[in-house]
Amino acid sequence: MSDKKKAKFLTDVELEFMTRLWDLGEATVRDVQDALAPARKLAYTSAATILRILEQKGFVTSTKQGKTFVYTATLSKDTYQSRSLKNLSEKLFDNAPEMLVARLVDDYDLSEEALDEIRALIDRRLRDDKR
Amino acid sequence: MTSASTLLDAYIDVNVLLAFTCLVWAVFARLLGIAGLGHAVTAQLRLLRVVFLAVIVSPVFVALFSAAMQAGYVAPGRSVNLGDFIVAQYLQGRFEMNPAALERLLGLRGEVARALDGSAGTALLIVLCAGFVLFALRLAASVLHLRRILSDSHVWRRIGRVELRISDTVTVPFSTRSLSRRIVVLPSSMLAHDADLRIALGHELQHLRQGDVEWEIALGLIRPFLFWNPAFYLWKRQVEELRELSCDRQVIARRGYSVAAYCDCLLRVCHNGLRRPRLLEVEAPVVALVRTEDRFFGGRSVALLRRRMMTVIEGRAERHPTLVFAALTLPLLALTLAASVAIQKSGDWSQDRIMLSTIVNLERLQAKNGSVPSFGAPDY
Repeated sequence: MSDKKKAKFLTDVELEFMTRLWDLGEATVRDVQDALAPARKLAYTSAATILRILEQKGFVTSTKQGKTFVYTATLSKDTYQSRSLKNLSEKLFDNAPEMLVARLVDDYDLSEEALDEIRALIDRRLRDDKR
Repeated sequence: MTSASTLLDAYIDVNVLLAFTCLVWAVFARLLGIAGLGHAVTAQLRLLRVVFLAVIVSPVFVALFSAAMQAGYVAPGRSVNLGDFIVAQYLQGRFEMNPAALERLLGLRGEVARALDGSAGTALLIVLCAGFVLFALRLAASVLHLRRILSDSHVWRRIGRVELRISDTVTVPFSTRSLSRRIVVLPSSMLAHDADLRIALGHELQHLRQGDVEWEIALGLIRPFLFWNPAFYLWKRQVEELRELSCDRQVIARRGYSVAAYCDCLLRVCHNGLRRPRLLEVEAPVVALVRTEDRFFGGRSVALLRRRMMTVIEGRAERHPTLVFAALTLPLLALTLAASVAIQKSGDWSQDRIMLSTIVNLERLQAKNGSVPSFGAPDY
């Protein structure tokens, strides 16, 4: 049984850790632990285990600085967002992203500004495609 | 052919003995309750296991006993035979029954064996073989599934020959083993709950300490042979219940967890286990923190969880489990081994059996010829 296993998606706890790591850029176990919500009350060993598993899954890398390990994310938040949305679109929306967007626009109670932003985004994309 | 018939006889004897010991255990457990030892779950668990082991090795004991008799180490009068015992009691007038019916009852095993000699026997053998293959395949499938769960999990720590693993695909902590290592698998979601993590780990390590995983594997391997025998399932169920009750008590006593936190942890894990479809659909050789069947046996899991929590809340300490175990083992083990010899086919025609046969023949004659006048009767 190999210890290095690539996984495509994060569990809830791992996502919480990755979010902190994306915010911090690079961080030690203690940094991530401090960045979590105070109500979390996570033991140092548990936090270290979660980061080690993230490393085994290939989401972070670590470098040793003195006695402590410093962790850095190997993929950006944007990349993971795209991967998650693609997965959601494939699994739940029959591989039709337009259905996903339609559901979002219908149900999410978007403000005028947000809708304008989406419209501008689509226009920009259409212009880029025509070039 | 003789060896095949000997093996079949041994197989039937093990099944009959298991059913018998199950009945004896039901009475014994009630007596323990009356004697105020109902809470001695660790002693009861060890006792159940020893008796089960005695049942499984009983054919070897019977063979050794009969070899010792033939060699003259055991006097023939010391041997017990259930059939002979019943006939002796009958002839002494301890119970009333039609003699022909009693003879039929005593010869039932021979009758069944004769009936199964033909096509019915072949059909039964096919059914038994098919059942064995089915249950062996189920076991193989569950082992493969377990291997997949283990290979998808991540090593957390290695302490000697114990390996702690974290898995994203399970919701209930469990322990199992490979040939060289004992393994505890914990759900990754549990890492976010320190208290639950500590309790679950303590519980699973206690299972490893008690040898529960090895017993579970042994029962899993025996299951294809005894799949049709309800006594086996009753036995297994009783062992599982005592195992969990004993483990809960030991963990709380050793580690001093708060009873409320322990019960909360059991409830949370059970709740999480029911949220997702069960990962170990078929019974794998693992020992889990809680059972979460949601199909036919859901009621049983709930009842067991309730009993576990009640026992933990009661918090009654078990004093000197080894002493209680030693005191209880002797009578039950002696009874089991004596029964294994007693249920053997009677070798020779004893005086009592000849007497019973004579009574049956006389009754047949009487039925055929009408009443036979006896000396002193008016029409003699």
